Amino acid sequence: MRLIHVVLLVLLLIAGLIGWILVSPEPPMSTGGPHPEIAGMSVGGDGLARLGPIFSHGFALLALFVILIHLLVALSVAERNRSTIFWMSLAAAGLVSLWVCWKIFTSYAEFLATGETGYFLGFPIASAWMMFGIWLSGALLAVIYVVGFRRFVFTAEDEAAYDLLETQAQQQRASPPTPSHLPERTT
Amino acid sequence: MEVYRVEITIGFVAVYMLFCIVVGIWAMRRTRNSSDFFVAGRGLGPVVLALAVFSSTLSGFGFVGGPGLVYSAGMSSMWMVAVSSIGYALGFFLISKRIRMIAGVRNSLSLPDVVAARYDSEWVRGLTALTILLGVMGYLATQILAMALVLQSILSATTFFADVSLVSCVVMSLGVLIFYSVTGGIVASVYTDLVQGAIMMLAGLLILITAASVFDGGLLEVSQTIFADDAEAAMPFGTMGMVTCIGWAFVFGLGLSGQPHLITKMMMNRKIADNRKIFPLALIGYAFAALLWLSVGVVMRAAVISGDISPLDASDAAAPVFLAVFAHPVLAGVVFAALFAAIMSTSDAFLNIGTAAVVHDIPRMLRGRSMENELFWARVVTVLITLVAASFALYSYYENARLVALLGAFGWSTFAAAIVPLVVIGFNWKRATARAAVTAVVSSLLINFAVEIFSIQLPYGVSGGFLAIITSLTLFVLVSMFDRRKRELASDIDRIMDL
Repeated sequence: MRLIHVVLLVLLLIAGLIGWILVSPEPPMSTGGPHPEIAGMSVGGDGLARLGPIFSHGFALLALFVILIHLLVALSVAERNRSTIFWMSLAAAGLVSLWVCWKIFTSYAEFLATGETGYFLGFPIASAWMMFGIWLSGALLAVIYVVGFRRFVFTAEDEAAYDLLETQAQQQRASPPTPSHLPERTT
Repeated sequence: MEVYRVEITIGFVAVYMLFCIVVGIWAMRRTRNSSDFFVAGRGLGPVVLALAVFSSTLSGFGFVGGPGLVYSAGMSSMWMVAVSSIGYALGFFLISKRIRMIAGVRNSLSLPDVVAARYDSEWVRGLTALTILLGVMGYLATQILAMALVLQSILSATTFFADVSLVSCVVMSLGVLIFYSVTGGIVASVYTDLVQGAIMMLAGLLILITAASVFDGGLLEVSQTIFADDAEAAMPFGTMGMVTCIGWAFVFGLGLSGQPHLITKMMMNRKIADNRKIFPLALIGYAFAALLWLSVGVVMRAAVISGDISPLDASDAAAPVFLAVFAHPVLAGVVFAALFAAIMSTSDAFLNIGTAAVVHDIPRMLRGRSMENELFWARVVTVLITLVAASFALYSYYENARLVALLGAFGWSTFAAAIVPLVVIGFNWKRATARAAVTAVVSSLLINFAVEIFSIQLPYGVSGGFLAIITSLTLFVLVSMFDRRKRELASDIDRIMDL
């Protein structure tokens, strides 16, 4: 199975989940309602009542988002550069991101069950996982990009091949166009 | 100093606008042809480009609409900010290298130029240019309206300009925007972005410090106040709910790499290897500037709940009221200048890509070549696009508020759904076809437009943009797989796709 087939499979799963959510019965306040006293402000109300029915769908959707992102990153790297180190670092970043998703949902579920929450850097634990954890997921990919730039993204050979291609293109542009200058076509 | 608050704010904004004019004059001397006007001759360094990339991403929405959303709906909109790091990662991994390669080899001046080369299709060029033009009109109209309303709110606080009209404010702010965009093109745009980005980072950091000192217990007390009033507002999905927030993760995380004003900048660097520096710099810059989005919103919500401040007339007033009540006059001046910077840096980027669509891409699709004397017409069309967008903005404000909303639907989410499949997958998978690209663009336009025109409300807050981006991506892959026409790539594109 090629990488693009896995991407397609994930996209179809996401589409299926959205379809499932769209046909699921919608409880009141699923997208909030007006604040009882302050105009222009909304409230969420009872989290368990409004989000409980789609709690697992939500987690699956977020996990599939994370998986899709990491598959796309793998797709961007030329096949010959997808070394063991690349796959290992991408898998590690992906697992950390999935763990962040898990922590967002489990911390939130804990709050729904007890009505209480701890705080981290001024925010409720579940919200802190969302803000800092998701940001960290992207930052990990940035680290892979920066550290692995010359190994996976744009190797010295790639650079030399591109420089040659650009020089040839410039020479073609400088000379008068004839049919022989048109790019050859490859299947 | 408090007595001179309004004068200080006007002073900062005036100095900023003067700076833009000076840069416009300087950049005019460096703009000799259409390549300079549209892609800065592909000669920009990493710092300039990094700041230009992030400051174009964070528009006036980030400084006004973002805090307003946190004020009204709690933590929901923070998903848009949190996933931006993933969005940048996708953009740099999947697009930045090959868009620059194709631009360098084919001498491309615009995103439609690059996709036309990739898919060898004038249809793909035309549809991409049309999508960009429609999106640009909506975005520009909202930015112009926001800029004029902010200027009016500042000037009307003085005795001299107490009765200043909205039209006068549109004329004043557009005068500066048009001047530097027309004279200096993208060169003026990116060098003003450099300072705009720096101002936005500084403002974000200072506002966070200010916000943390509003309540004695700092941000912890802010969160506890919001939690006590409505716990869901302080929790990760805010008041708008789980599916809305995760939908935003898709639209903003995946969609960031489909924003033409942003990815066009990836064609402008001197060396592809500079991307290694540009990505982390842009990410850090965005993180600093986005601090304002978060801190102003939560503090204003907590301050109103605790009764320290009266409820706001509109949620978009959260940032201006915060600055008026809590910020030192000099900081308020810096942030108002940063607000103008955010609006102008996004507007000039949109003006540039919109102009390229009209002068360069649509003529090439219709008659196989762009307009003669492209630089002259680029300057003329820049003025015309600004005037048309300003007319839309004023008409919308006074007569029909739905017009800009409708065009706004062709904003972020339409760019995301229409362009992401073409560049994110198409630049990294040889089998992607022109027919699939046309299908993806058309399906995304239809879904986004239908949801907006018929005011369709989907259950659980599933947005049209979320539906459109998943549909267009899936169709793009499926149509490419089942497209039985002979797949041929030009030899140069084929070699680029191998790198």
